[in-house]
This record gives sequence, C-alpha cells and structure tokens, in this order.
Amino acid sequence: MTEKIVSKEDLKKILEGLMKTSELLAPGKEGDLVLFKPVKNPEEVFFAYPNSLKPVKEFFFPPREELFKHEIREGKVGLSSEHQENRKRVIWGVRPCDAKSLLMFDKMFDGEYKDSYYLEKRAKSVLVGLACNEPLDSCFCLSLNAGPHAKEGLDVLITDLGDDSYLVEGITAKGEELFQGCGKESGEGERTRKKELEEAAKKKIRKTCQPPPDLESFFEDPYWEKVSRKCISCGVCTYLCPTCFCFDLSYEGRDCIRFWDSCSFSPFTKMTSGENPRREKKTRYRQRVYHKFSYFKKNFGEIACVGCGRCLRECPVKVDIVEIVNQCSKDKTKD
Amino acid sequence: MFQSEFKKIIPYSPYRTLPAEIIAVKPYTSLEKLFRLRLKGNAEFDYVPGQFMEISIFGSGEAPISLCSSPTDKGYFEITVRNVGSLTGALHNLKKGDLIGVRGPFGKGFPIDDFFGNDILIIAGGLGIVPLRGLIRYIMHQRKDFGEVQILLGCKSPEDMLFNDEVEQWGRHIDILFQCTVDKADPDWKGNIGLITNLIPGVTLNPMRTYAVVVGPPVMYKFVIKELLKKGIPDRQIILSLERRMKCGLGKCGHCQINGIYVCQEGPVFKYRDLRTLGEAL
Repeated sequence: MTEKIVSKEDLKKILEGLMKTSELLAPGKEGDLVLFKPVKNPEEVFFAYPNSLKPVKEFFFPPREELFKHEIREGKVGLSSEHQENRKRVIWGVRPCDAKSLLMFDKMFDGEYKDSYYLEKRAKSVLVGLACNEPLDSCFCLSLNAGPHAKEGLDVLITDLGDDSYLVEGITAKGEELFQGCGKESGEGERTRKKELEEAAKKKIRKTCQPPPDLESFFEDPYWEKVSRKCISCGVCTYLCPTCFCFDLSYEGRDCIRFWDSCSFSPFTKMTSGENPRREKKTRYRQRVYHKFSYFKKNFGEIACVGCGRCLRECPVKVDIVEIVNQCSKDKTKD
Repeated sequence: MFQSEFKKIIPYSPYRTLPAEIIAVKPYTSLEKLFRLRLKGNAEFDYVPGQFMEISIFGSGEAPISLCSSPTDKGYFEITVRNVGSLTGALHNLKKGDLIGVRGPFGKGFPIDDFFGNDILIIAGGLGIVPLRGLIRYIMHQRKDFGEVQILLGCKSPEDMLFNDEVEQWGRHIDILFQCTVDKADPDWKGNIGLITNLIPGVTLNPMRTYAVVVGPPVMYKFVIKELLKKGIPDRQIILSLERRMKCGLGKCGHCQINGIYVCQEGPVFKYRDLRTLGEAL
C-alpha cells in the first residue's frame, strides 16, 4: 500500500484526465441535494458533504435495468445480446460505509449464481473513497465493523487534511494506478494528522447499533406492532438503503426488465391467488429488521447494515430502525 | 439441480428463458387448462415432481408455475394453470404451436427417495392437486417401488375437479385407495360432501411407515396437520408444499423469503418438521 500527499490542483488534474479516459462519477450539487452524477467539470466535484442522498448501489444495480430483449428475426424469436459499455468507470468520493455495502452485494450476486449484469459493472469500476471527517448525528458505522476512515471495499482512500492537501492511500493496484506520477511522499506529520482526523471523526459517532443476540426470540412479540405503527410503508428506507437488494422482474414489450422492489409494500408478497403472507404492516416491518439483523447475518456472517443513517435521515415519519433494534430486548422485559 | 439446457445459459444470465412449444392444450374447467410443453429442439428435461418453472410470455411477465407431469412422462412436460391474472390470462389465449419462455426447474421437489418402500398418503385440496398429479403419475408408473398408496382429494364442487379423466382411473385402480370429497354438490353426486379434514380420521394407516404429502390452500394445512399428528405420523414424514411469490427462482429477489430461507431454493416442498420453527411458514 502506497501513501502520498497530493494538492487540490493535483486532484483537479487527475479528475480532468479521468474525464477523458473513463466514465467519471462524483458527488455534485443538485439544488440542496448531493448526488453522484457524471462529471462534466472538475470544479463541480463536491468534497464538503456528509454523504450523498443516494448510495452508489444504483451504478451496479440500477433502479431499472434491461436484462435482455427478445427480437423477432425472419419470423423467429431470438434473444438480442446484452450490451454493456465496457469503458472503465471511476466512482469518485465514495464514503467508506457505501463501499462496504458493495461487499454485501458481492455476497448476494457473486454466489452460486453469478449475476453477470452486476459483476460486469463491478469489474469495470474503480472506487475512490473519501474519508469521512464530519460524520452526522445519524451515522452509526462504528458499531457495524466499519468506520469513517475504513478502507474495506475501496480501491483508494483520500483524506482531506485541510490546507488544500490530501493524503492518498492506495488499497488495490487499480486504485493506485489512478494516482501514478503525481503528488509527493507523505511525511510523519501528515500521517499523524490523518490519525488525528480519524480519531476525531470516530469520537463524533455516538449512535450505536446493538441488536440483541437473541433477536430471533422476539419474532412473535407484540413489540413489532407497536414500533411499526407510525411507518407509512413508503419504502424510502429500502430505496435509499445501500444494502437493500430486493428486486422484481417483468417484461416491457419484449424487454426483460429488472427493477427495485421493497419489502415495505404489501404487494411484495401478494400472489395471484390473492393470498398474501405479509399483508399486515407489522410483519413487513419485522421482515426488514430481521432480514438485515438476523437472516443476512445467518446466511453471510454479518449484519446487512453499514450504519450510513440514510433511513433515519430521510424517513418522512422518523422511524429509527437503530432505536427499534436496540430497544427490542429492553421492551420485552418491561412487558 | 437444473436440467442441462438451462444450465448452459445460467452463467450468462439466469434470467434468460428457453423457448418451449405448446404441443397440446386441454381445458379441464371453465378456469383451468393443462398445457403440454416441449423444449425447442426437443432438449432433454429432467425434474422432480413438486418442482416449479418460471413461465413467461412477452409483454405479460413471468410467474412461478408448478410442474404437474412426472419425469416418467417422456418427451414433454405439463403445467396446469388457472386463469386469474394477466400472465395466466395471456397463457389461456395461446394454442397448440405457440411458444412461451421457460426457466428452471427450480426448488426442491417431493423427497421421492425417502418415499421408496414406504406407504404414501396424498392429500390434495383445490389446486393442490396440480403438483400432486405429477407425484401420483410418478407413483403409478413405478408402483412397485412404493407400499400402500392412498389419495384423498378435495375440491369445491364436482365441476371444479381437475384431471377428472385421470381421477376416474385412480378411483378404479386396485392398488390405490382413493377418496374424494366436495364442499357442495347436486343430489346425484355419489361421493363425500364436506371438508377434506373429515376424511382423515377414517383412514387406516401405519403411521411409522407412512409419508403424508399435503398440498392445498394455506388455510387447509393447519387442520390437516393436526389430524395427521393425531394419527401418529411423525412430523418428519408430513410433507407440505408452500405457495409463495417465487419471482426469480434463485434465492435473490426476496419475495419468497420466510425467516431467512428462500422458499424457491429450500422449498417449495418441505418436511413439516422443518417448518415448525419458521414462524412465517404456515
């Protein structure tokens, strides 16, 4: 792993170069919102933001994706070959929490069945991380084996040291390659400064997520009815969640389409017969909690949450999944 | 798990479909039709009764549908579909010679290996007879591999009965005990009237060597299981098939998940013993 110091000017030059050679996506302002979008001008790349409104999952697992098309040729039905643009893609400014979420997607889409649509996008992408110096009150990554300066899932990590200088830590070969031939070697002082920033950021994260180890035993508890009462089943938490991956498949004309779906919605489990195993809201809310904090952990060894806090910040009725999970055992003893 | 043709395309995209030709259509009731299908190019197709296919029609979508034939039926496979939605409606409009898309087979079918040499009690309610018809055909084709075979069939009315031509054969078969009951019928109906649950207490069986295979609407399971346990059949020998929205068939899309398992992968056929701990199953 190499470390170097680059200036703001260096970064601008690198961005300019990447714009020419790759598809470059970075956070930019859209009114009051910060969103990842194609970079047209390096000046527009935004560094001072807590986190983007939407996670980066949409670039690997788009909200609506055409999987393949049926074609009629000489009266016969055939499948058209799927085309994916194979140009290198650089996603710049990814927060460590979002990078970690992609490792969970890998577990899902790179298992027994290889999801070529996802894996092709993964293979052509380079993730440039931006360490988090100013976490929000709603962030809780520290309690989920992640952190504001965590490197897991990233190809390179940039830390803003202030004074227009940045510490660049190469993590993978394709990450290091982006910064070849620029900047200077990092010194002891700069490394100390980075450590200080990391410690300061960690101290700012006070929210912790501590699901009870015996979460399974609360499955039939009336608690879920109580805590889900104010949920309006809008699905915002699932759409903005970097680890939610449930989807639906359909046809639009002759195109096979995959699109995001949400366990918050009643039709999610509804069958043609009219039977619906999760008609009640409490069962849907419980599904979301258990999928993240119990089932995924059982199947893949870790909780399907990275502590980005988007679901808390953007919920229209302020449902706080962390509080709900943390309080679950205490509530039980109260009853 | 997958037959060879589907296996070939999985590495490229598990959502790709294989074209299958409708080689016969047989209407059974005003709502249900049987479709006999063959993979294009007559490709080999292997499966276990109780498994399902993802069936698709351009512009209408895709849905999980049980196979209702037996792998011992060579050269074709069959599905029986009720016309209730847009996809099933579109399917009902198709005729012999038309093409549909298929993926699969998916999931775990009936544990036939466990059944060998044992007695089988088949309990079918409503559309539950559809996947069970595949098992019944399998048993009839390999009759000597099984002990006593009993079939209890329940449906709304005699007019709603599926596979009535075959049901008649089951009734006449000397090697199969067959009973049928309907919820309501005209006075000239000679069979039983009432719930299928009422037939169970009168069944003679050796519980330790009996596998009860139950498929029907969710509401039926609770009552039937209670009766079977009363008969002394162990929970590992009570076999059920769950209906869920098994959209992708690959354990990914999330629709069929219950308590951390994907019904499309671990099921749809389960031993009751394994469902007892899954709060959302029944």
